[in-house]
Amino acid sequence: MKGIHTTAICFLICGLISAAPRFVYAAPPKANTLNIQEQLLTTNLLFLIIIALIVPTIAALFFWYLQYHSTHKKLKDISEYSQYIVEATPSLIVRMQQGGLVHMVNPAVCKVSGYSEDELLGSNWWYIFHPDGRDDPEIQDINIISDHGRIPLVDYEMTLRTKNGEKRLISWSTSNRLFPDGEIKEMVAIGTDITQRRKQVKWEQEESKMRAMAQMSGGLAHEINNALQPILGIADVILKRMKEQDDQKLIDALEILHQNALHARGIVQSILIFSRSDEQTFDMHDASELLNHSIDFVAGALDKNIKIYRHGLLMKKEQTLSFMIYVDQTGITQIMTNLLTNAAHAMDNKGRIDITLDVYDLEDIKNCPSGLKEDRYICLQVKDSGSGIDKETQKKLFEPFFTTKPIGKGTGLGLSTAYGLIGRWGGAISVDSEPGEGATFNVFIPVSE
Amino acid sequence: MAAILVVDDDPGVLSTVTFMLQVNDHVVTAVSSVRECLNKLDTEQFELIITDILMPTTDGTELIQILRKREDAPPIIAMSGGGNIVSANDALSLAKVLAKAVLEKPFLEDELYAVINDVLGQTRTA
Repeated sequence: MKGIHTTAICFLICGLISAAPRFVYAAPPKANTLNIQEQLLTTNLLFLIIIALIVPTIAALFFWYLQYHSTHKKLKDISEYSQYIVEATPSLIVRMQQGGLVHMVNPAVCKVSGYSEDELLGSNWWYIFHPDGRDDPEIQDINIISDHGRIPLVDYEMTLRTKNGEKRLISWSTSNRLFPDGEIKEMVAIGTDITQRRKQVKWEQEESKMRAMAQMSGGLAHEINNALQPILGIADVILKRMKEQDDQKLIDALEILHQNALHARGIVQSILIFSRSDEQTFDMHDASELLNHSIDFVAGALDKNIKIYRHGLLMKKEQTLSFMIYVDQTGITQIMTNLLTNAAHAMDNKGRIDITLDVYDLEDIKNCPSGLKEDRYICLQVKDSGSGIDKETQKKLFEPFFTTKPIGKGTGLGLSTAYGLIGRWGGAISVDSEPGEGATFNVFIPVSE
Repeated sequence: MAAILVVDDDPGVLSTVTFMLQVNDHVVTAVSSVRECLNKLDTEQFELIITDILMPTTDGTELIQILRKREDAPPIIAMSGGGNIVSANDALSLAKVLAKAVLEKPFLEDELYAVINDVLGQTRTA
């Protein structure tokens, strides 16, 4: 609209200018006809010259205006588009001075970090996200890189501590904007939050390791079972007959042989549970009813100094809500036995164990273990007040034969058996623990509608 | 007392099962392959066959299938070493369908006789 107005005004002015000489010269009538004719000729000539000058000027102005208008529009489009990319992209975009003073952040940075734009702009990036400063090995590394030759970073992974203390792994790539003298004007960093992807990769590696282990132990179990048959079978037969003859020394010796062969059989059975992937003994059970029943069963065998507290759906008054799970009852009891005896051992057989049962939608599960695909899960939490589990131990916790107990006190198969069982139900088990603060085992089992 | 044919390629298991049966006065014939087993069946009468499932060349499931076609074939108890070798899993589920009973190795004397009495009881009453 503005353009049309300007054009109209241009035409009006040009029209007035070109018409003016006619009014000036044609106005006073003169007696001398020659003079009049001369005057008319001059006037018309002048008029023609002015027209000849003005028309191309107007045309040029008009075309210049059109071009200006379209360029302006293009620029505006590009600017809007860039703005859209910066604001809508899930990638983190930061512009900062070499020292870390933040010039600009996009919404993705705020979303991932939990800080608002106001909190970040004008603040020092390193001070906010890496308060350990030069003690932080990631920072030392980045200083080395930026001190030498200003090589832009590509795929540089850094841990970003969010406002609520959570750690996100970001892969950064940067480019440097330079002053004409080559000094760095500002750094533009683009980052991708790879926390979830890394978790997934780790889980897949873990999963394939567990599968390989399951396959191996399955094959192994078959061989051991064959080898055990003569030991157990013969010891069993002889022991029975020896007892009739009452030779105590021989009976004792055979008893040892018999007991150990039985122990070996138990171990192999546990390995088979870990390695087996098919089972036809599953059934629909009410989660809180089954778990309460199984807790009652196991709790009776624990030391009297251990107090068990139930929460959530395990409380009787809330049992009006019923959630069905497709599992085998013996499996649930086995898991409960493993989790509760482990908790009891961790607390030297005195202290409290808190057991909570809740139901979560998949997207609401915090620190969701990978591999869960169903919409809804029951979550059974067993929390002890023991000494906690360090990170290194947590990594190996579910591997067969891994144990922290003294030799002879544990087979190292309890949690791997639980892992195998829960996996068969389409669930997962995870652990949260800090040394000195006890441990919480989370068992997720899909809710069957 | 019964005439029992035991089939297992593992000599340790074969002699053990033989021993566990002989101490209870059963008459045991022990063979280590399906071929030998079929030869024995041509010449002798047995009340029961106890066979391993996973064996080289011809395995226990094939033996069970062959015998099920014979009208005079004795009942079969299958023995399994467990494990998750693919064929073992398939074989075990097949054996569960075809055999009268399945024993999981290693088994005790009482467990063996519980199964034997069950199977022989079924056949004798039938």
